[in-house]
Amino acid sequence: MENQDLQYLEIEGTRYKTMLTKKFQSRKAWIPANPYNIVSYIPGTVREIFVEVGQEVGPGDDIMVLQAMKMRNLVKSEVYGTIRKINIQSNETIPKGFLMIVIEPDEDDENIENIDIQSLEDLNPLIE
Amino acid sequence: MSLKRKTLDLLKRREKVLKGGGDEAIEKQAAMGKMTARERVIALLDKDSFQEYDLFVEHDAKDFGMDKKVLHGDGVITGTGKIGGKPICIFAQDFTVAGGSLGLMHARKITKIMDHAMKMRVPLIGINDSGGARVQEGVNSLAGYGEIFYRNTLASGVIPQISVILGPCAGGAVYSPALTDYVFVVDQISKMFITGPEVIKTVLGEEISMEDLGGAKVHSTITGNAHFYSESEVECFEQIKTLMSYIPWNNSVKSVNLTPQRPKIEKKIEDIVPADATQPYDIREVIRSITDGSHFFEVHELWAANIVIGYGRLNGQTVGFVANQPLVLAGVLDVDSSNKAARFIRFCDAFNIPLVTLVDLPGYLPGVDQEHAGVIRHGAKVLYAFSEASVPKMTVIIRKAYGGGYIAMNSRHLNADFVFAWPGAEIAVMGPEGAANIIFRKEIQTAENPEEMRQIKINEYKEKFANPYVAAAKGYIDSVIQPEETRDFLIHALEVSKGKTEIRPPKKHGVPPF
Repeated sequence: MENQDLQYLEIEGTRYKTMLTKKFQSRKAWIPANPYNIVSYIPGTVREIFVEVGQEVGPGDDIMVLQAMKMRNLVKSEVYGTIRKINIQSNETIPKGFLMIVIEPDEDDENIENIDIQSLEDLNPLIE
Repeated sequence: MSLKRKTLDLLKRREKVLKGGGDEAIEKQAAMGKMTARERVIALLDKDSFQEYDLFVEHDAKDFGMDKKVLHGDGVITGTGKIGGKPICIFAQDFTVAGGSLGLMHARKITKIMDHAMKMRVPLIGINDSGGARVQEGVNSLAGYGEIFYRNTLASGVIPQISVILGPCAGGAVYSPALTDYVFVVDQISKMFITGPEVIKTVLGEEISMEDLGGAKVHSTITGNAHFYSESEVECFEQIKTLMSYIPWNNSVKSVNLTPQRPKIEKKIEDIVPADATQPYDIREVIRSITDGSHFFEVHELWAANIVIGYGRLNGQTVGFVANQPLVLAGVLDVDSSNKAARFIRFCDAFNIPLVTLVDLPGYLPGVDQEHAGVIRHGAKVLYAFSEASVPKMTVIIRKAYGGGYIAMNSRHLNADFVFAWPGAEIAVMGPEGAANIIFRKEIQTAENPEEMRQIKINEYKEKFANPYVAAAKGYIDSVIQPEETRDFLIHALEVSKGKTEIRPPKKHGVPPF
């Protein structure tokens, strides 16, 4: 059995002394989806980047092509904004969950109120 | 030619084929730390009990130079033999012959012995050690796999099917073990995956070794695809023999009864379990204090350890135990433990093995990951399996039994035959802390000292509900028993359940939340 140390697990207000499994301890905190951060949903290779830093984009605009599982996946913007950062290069192979492109929201975009952009960007440890 | 000469000719032919892939290939197999297919069969079965069939089967593939290749036995050994004096059917893929690759005739040998096992209603053991499909045979080799899977499915619940992974078992081939009842793996030898490291690297750019992707440890601790883990092939064969001693030969008979033995009491049963429901203990100690000779053969020991499943004997008769494990994750039900328990319950029910459920759980594991992984559907499998089971079903509530977890763990409401509870059992919708916070929210909030009030209310709730008598008053529990009476009550329950019959409405099959 993994991890002989007894720790605490709280369930409905009661703290139980017990062993925690590796799987339980390595759970990832849930992060709400943020359409301003374009993250790879599958590992793959960047085939094309259609945008540049400073370029304005809107919903439906082509952003890039991520090739994975032999398929070229066209990634489109869901939001209005300006490209603030591009963390990828053409033909670069990237892992799953990689923050590829960051869009800066337009100030008058109503979605923005619900999303904490700063803190979400910090979540990707792969960005310098 | 005289018969004598013809017999000599037979012996010569036999000798040639028995060498499998030849000396060089056998040496290679040994260098990998592996026994040959024939050595394995002989090591597993009772002495001198193995008879081999289809020794002279040959492939008839012509393409890609196959017409010039002689593959002895077409890379698989099939036959019948005995384990513990009782007949079984067996096949063992021979890695020394074309890497144990599966062509049409190889598959036909396997399906023939499977058909035989089904006709004779005896267990089937498959030893897998194969590089996969024989590419030169194209769709014929895929056909072979499909014919095996179909038979695995039809045999499910009729005869026990055991898969032993003693080498690679990759691609479509792994679906045969996945369809069988028990999968055995050996450290450094077993490798199972759908897509191998090479493909993963090419397609996804992720680099991983075979061992880390689908080795014995991975499948026995992370995926749960393997039920039994061992360090060597010899240890693995011992595990198989032990398993076979507990389970019946087919679905129309019961397990063999052994001479009853008293448990070896080292610690009094009531001293194993702390009175405080938040303190851990090893539920397996409780099981061992109940079973004959204190033997307990655990299934899936290394995976989802928050629930414990396995076999023991009560008064000589095999029973299947399903028990929450307070030592790990407080014994909660979650996605993995639900899957683990549900499949075991269905195996026991299919093969006439009575179920003993030991309950001590705080409920389900909270978390976004659990909800998003579909714990609703997976948790429902436990309810389904217990409700569906028509073998004798006994439950002992050891300590806490809260909320949906109480219902799921073979409660009276799912038609358990006997429900017993220890005097320290707490049967309630949730633990006293959570319940007090909800019921007495106002009183606690408006109190001069809320913390003090909370404690008072928690104690009040504990006194009223944290006992077995509220449930006993409704007949949800048949008897509140002393811990030391547990074994006797279970044995009695088993004895009086011998003629149990339940008539259910006819149906083709149910639709469990797979």
